[in-house]
Amino acid sequence: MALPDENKHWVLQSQNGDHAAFESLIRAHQHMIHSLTFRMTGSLADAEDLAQETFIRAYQQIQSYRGTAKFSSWLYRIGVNTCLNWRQRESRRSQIHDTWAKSAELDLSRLATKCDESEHPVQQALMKLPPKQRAAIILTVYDGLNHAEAAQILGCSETTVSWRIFAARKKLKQLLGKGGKNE
Amino acid sequence: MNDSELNNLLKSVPMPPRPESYWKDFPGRVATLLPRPSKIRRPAAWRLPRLSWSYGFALACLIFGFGVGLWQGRSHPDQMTGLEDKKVVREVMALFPNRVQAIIQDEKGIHLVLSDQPNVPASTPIWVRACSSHGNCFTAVTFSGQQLQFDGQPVEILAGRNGNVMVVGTRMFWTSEEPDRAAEHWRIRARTLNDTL
Repeated sequence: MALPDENKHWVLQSQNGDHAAFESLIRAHQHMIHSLTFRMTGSLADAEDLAQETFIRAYQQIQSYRGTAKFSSWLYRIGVNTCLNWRQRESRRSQIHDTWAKSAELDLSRLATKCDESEHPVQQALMKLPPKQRAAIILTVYDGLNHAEAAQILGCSETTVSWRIFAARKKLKQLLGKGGKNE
Repeated sequence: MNDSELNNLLKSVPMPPRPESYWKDFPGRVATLLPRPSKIRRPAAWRLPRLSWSYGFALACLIFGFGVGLWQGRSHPDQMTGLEDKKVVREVMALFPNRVQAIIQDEKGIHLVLSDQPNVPASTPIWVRACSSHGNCFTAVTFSGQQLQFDGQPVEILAGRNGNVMVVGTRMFWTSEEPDRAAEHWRIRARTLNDTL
């Protein structure tokens, strides 16, 4: 991870349209964003697409970055929103596919499943959470943010984050507990 | 399983490894997809008058539209007014795609709460009406996951899977499943508009 002063310099340069400076910002934050996008999607290919989309959006919006928050937090927020929007797009797309498949009388069970990377039961359990609960777990458990910081990134109140985490933990415990089944 | 054990279990999952060449190439690949500098939106002086004209015109249309809606509402008290007019809400959303966080109507008039960037995710639209014990009322159309201010306190409006609405604040909680329960000193009514917008 880059030092804050280095980030500041690269951000200023990027705001002046310097692609090389933005490339440095990507290099400094690519692991963080890939980790987020993988935990949110459970797929390496989708994680790559979303990481790419996150950085492109960040570049398009970089004029609005005022330096009041840490650049990584600002970027992370774009990443989370990109993932949440992707879930909605995917859900719409999947509905269209389902309708199409039904009309074509295809056996959906024969279509290939896409997430070979998410075979790990923990990742599978994470994928069963609603996206906003998953995002709250990723921010607080994997990235170690407190509820206030997570609330800032997710654009909601601390109470909502606490509630989402509570609900997510309950479900994860059911799915991953000794008596739970993770089919 | 306690919380700490669950955390350890969650953290035990490794990220699938990628080859070193991937991390080396990824920044360059993204950089080739970045828009050229001239395409980045900048607050250039020559653009401001045009922007303000277009936004001014859009707002004038909105105010006119709301005015007509309200006037019609007053003329026909049995009809829906202002924010319950789905057409008006749809038009506002079309004017500011992905920017509308809330449309609020109170005793001072109608206010739009817009995001600086078109980054408001599409979610279930929700109609909310709240009246405080002091008699201050407001009506809003917002979207699941957005926040409204109740006496200056941020409160999140959420739509449940079964179509119920929750109003969640630091010190208050209300759900449309128990609509008569007062939240703090607020009387609230809310419903999703999913099927009609």
